Amino acid sequence: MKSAKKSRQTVLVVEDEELVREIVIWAFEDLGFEARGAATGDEAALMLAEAPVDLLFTDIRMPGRLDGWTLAEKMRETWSGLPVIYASGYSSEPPRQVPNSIFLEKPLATQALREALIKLDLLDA
Amino acid sequence: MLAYLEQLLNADSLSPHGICLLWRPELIWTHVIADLSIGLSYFSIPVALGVLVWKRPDISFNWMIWCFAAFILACGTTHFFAIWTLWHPDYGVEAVIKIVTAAVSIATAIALWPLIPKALSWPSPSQLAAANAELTALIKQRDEALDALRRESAERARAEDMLRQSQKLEAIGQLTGGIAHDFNNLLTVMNMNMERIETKLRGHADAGIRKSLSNAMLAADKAAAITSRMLAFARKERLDPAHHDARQIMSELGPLFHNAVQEDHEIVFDLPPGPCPVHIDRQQFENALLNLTINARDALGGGGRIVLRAYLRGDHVYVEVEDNGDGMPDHVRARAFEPFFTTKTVGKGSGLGLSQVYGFAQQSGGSVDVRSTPGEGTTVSIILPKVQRLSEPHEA
Repeated sequence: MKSAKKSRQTVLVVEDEELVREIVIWAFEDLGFEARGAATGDEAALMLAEAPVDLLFTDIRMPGRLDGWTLAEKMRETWSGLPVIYASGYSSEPPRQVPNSIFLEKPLATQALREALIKLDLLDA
Repeated sequence: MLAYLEQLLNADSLSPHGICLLWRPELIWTHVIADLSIGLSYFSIPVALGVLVWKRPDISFNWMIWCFAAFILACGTTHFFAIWTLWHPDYGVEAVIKIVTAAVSIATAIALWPLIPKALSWPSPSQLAAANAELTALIKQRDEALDALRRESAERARAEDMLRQSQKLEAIGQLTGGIAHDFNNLLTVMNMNMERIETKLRGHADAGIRKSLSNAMLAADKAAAITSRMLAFARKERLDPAHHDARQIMSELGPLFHNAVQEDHEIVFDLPPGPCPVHIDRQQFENALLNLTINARDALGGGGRIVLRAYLRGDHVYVEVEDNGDGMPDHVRARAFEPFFTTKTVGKGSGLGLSQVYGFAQQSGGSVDVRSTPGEGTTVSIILPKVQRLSEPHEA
């Protein structure tokens, strides 16, 4: 069992909208993840430096210096191959070809999240 | 002086001029006829000149013509008097008449000479005609320039109008895109929370609550569809473009169009024999065509005609939907692409159909053109850049 590789996988949810952040964290928890939240890219970078995670979930447009793309890029300098789920409300943003990542359009749905995790090999089908 | 005049006019001792001619009838009558003819002719000339000056007051130096008239009148009088003196020896009166004639003649002659250079400088009729032709050509040239100016100014006004329109649509697009973005966040919260409730309630709640929840989720889905169309107008919709033949897509969609329009109206396909290669998102292109067809259908009263047309012109592929329905007045046409602008009754149209068409065309590197005449119909053209060939270069 893939999920058995580690007792509890961890995810950092980076999203400036509090209500969105909260429900995404709950959704991850319901799927068996240990989820934490950050409101900005900068906050997320600090949290990751202290405690690495198995998955990064990030909004693309966020206030502050780091948008979703840049945040993920920086994190991968340290943890290469870190799986990333990008989410955006502006679906026009051309999804960049980042290996081991998934681009999700808002509005998000639990089912889409589940499918993304399966594709990233973080959840059993 | 008085004595001299008396002496001059005294004809007592004189004999008539006929005596000099020995009263030979052939001489007498030849003189009479000649002088009479000359006199009459001379008298008719001032009348003719008078008519000329009266009818053409614009003639230069018309006082000179009056001089000619007076001079010739005086000459005529001397000829008439020559007849008189054949039988009456009034040579004094004749002399006075000759003096008057001489005075008029000298005055005319003196006045005439200075006029000659001026008269020579008058343009001849052919010169006048040439000048006239030149002037006419200049006027024509000026008229043409004026026409060109008018056309240019109309063209400019049209371009400015289009610019204003596109700026307005751009502003609305940014606004709409922003709203859609925020709504997508809110819808994420609603969707996922409702899904979570649904999961947690599974097996617990009664059918009524589950139905309420599923209705709410259905509404959230519909709301998500609207935000997606708003993003389509704002050109923030994610496109998945590829090389396609617009003509082929249109003919493949035939049954769908017939379905949408049903049997009330006639659908005509006007497609070229060759392919119309474009780089588009097929799904969005189909949506745009369907939106246009539905609009055309709604513009038709009954028994109307819809033409779906594709053709190549220059570097562009034109895809058109034409109807012979109600048409649009200018103020409606000007706002047709604005999201949520609709003339349909409440509940009939979202006002997002043409917005989607506009957003799709813009995002595909093309444009949209609407021609409409109230009472005659509407033609909407999607103008897309033509690509060189249908098969895409394979990406590595």
